[in-house]
Amino acid sequence: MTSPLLEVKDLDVHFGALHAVRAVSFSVAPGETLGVVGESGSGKSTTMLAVLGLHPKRQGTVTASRLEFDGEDLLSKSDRAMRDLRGRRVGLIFQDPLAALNPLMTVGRQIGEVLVRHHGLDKHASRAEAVKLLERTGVPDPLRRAAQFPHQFSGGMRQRVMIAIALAGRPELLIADEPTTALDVTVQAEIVRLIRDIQQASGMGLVWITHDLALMARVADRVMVMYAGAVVEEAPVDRLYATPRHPYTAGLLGSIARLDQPRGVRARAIAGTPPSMDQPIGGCAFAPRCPLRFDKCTVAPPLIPLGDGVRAACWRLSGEQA
Amino acid sequence: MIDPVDTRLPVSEAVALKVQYSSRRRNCLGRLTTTTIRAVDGVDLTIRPGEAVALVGESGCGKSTLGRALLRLERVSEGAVRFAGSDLTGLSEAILRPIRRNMQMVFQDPFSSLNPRMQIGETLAEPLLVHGLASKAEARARVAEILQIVGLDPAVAGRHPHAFSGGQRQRIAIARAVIARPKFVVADEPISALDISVQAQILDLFEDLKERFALTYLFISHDLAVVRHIADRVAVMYLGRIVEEGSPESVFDNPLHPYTQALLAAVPSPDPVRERSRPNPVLRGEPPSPATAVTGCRFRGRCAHAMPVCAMADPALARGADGTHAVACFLHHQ
Amino acid sequence: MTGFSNRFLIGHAVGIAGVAIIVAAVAIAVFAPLIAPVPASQIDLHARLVPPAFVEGGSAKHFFGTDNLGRDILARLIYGSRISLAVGTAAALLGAVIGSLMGILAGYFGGRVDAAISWFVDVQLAFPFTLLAIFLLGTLGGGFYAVVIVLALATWVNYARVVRAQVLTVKVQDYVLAARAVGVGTPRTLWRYIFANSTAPIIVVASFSTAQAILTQAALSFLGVGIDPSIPSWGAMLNDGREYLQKAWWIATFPGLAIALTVLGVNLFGDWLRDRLDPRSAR
Repeated sequence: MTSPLLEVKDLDVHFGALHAVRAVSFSVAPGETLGVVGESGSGKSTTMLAVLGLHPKRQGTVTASRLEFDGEDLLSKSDRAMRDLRGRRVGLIFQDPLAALNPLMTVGRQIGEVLVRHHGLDKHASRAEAVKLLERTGVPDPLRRAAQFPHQFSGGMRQRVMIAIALAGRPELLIADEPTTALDVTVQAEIVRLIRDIQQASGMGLVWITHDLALMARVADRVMVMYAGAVVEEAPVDRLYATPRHPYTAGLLGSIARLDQPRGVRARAIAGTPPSMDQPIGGCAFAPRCPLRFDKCTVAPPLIPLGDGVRAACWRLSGEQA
Repeated sequence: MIDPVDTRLPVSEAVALKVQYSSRRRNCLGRLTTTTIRAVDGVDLTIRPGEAVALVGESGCGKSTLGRALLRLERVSEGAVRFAGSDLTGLSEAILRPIRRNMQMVFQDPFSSLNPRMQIGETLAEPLLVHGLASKAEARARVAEILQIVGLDPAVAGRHPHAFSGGQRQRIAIARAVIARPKFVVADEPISALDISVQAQILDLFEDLKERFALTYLFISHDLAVVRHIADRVAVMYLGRIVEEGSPESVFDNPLHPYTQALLAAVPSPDPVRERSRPNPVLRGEPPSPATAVTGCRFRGRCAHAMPVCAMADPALARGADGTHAVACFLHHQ
Repeated sequence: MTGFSNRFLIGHAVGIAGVAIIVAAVAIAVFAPLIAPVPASQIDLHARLVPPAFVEGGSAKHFFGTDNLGRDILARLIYGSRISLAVGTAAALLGAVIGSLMGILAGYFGGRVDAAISWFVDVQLAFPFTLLAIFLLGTLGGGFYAVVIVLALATWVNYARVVRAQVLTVKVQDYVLAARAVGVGTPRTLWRYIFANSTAPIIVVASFSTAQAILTQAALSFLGVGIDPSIPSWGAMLNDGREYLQKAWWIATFPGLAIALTVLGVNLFGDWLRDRLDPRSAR
């Protein structure tokens, strides 16, 4: 086992009274894909933004007992050092590429800027390299496309441009936050394949954030399920889908409609709604919606190791029964 | 008042329907150019009483425009729209208004489909009061009743939409659509903006209401997995046209159109073992913009089976031997 | 969310300050005869140009001093608030009604209606308002109502423009389409859906239009048109003080301060009200 690329232990993020991320721990190894799945407000994106130091200091407080990238402590790094790290060693892609691209700059120049800043290429060389990157991300006619502006690209093509920018720094870790959510399924399939191909070729670590459990099955090696700001289960992808241990994971898997199931096999909804995050949560956050809750659930359960890299936060798994 | 007395009449019908928008703008030389967007480009669709018809397709294929056109919330450019046998095509808004109580709509985004300045009790009572179906006191009772039916506490009628979660707002929007007991409801991507754990709840609610009020649905969705489980009939749309139509069993288990096949092949399933053995995506590129004029088959640019005939003629939606499964593709035309 | 609640509380304090200023100004206007030390028009030629009490040579009898006719500045300020507040409020309200209606019609119906209304707005903005006001007041004759109408004509374009812009964003919201789908008629849609969701900018414009009307009324009095100069108003006082700026700065300074303070209060109140009226930010 190689040493982890990214290691996070007991990460907490507070926005005033709002406790957005609660004692989250995880690690990512080189070449591995960690999937982070959760609903809106589950803290999955907030966790990754906190890791990258992207929360404005005045708004949120980030604490962790350990936050290391390639053995270096990130909490003590200056803003400048973090900026440098983000462009070069850690790449980022978001859901909405249009918001992340500068509308007034050609796509080629935007990619080139990263190359100039992080690899010290001159203008000419960066231009040629940008075209190469566009070609690598599957943009047809890259020479002509490099001279165009973001609004001239379709959603799928823009996401390819974002990926090209993220790859320009030759990152060791790529964080993809819902990169295909705004895209149609046929385009999504292509983007998924592109990112996985690049990962296989470069051996970078990948964190893939999504709310789509079906997509997660396609992309991840290991999956971390988040609910109300905390990790409720973590498991290798096959184990998670075959034998979900946490009632929330099981409920989610049971609630999604599947194309590969005959009609009449009905999805079962999870009752209730996720808790509001600006209220303190006493005990297990999922308990009010949980079919298996018992008196112990008034105390928040820890993540219990269940062997084979599976961890789940549920008292039902601790061997204690009501 | 239009009332579909004859249950054999289709509830809603589109006949050779076209909806086009033209936008005129000056190009950089100051010349006026007109672009015509063919959002719906010749659609025939019949929805019978009690049916749940699903309209699937990718963004920009015209499925939302078609849904709105069936309710005459869009201007019809060519062809006709009928509701319960009467032609709605050229009717003015004033004449349509009394008909509207019989055909309702649920929108995708429950955060923008409810008036933030109205209490939800007012929003829900509105269809009853506008159409003179109830006095104020009766409306209050009906609002309480419908809130209970959609799974909300009747006591919340005095609150504004901002006090509710997305799932709860969608329940309110659905309650507004059914409170006047319409015959026909168009639901445009009603669950895609909701949290995953809440989506199945809303689908259950749609099923429950369908039975309770004998509703006919047009369910617009990009999510094929959901459609498979709720629809009685499926229509697949591509670039303004229906390319395949049939029962969910026939369309999902035996897709005929290359586009339907590619679409189904691209849908991920929550099964890592199956996903690992999935073949690479077959469909390349993206659909052309609905502003460009196409000759021949509109899918031919992305189709792996394109033949010379596909460039020459536009295949019509033709029914197969079973009389229900229809496809617009020369591979299946004799 | 400390950042949020802090901002909320500060906003609250500012709003209360605005309300306090407005309440004080209205109370002064309403109870003027009870508060004023002497009648506003009482001339005392023996006590002309007396400086304020807190300045050398001042007299405790005239706290803010006297003007060139020996009239008590404080008394005139107190009585003058009546005209200034009444004109400001009435003009801003009338302008709001006309302007909002025009803005809603232009934004909602678009096309020719929009073109016609926008043409009026453009013409009025291109025309020097003072000239128009002098012309109108010349033909209408002066007096309170004429001034209110002229000032409403000055401010309606502000409302029409922002309301039109707001309506353009509101009318494409799903809830407006939903209203149509339900079968809601046009008047109700305009009122409960379009107007109800376009009020935030109206309130902001109303606050600064009230301020603008108070100032313009002062300017018109300053130019000698509008309300009878013998009736005390802050604008007329400014006008009177103009000639004496060197010798007796207090004649113009105190009405100027009164205008500034009132305008500030109205603006603070308007900002706060806009935040409060939004159900999304209400607590």
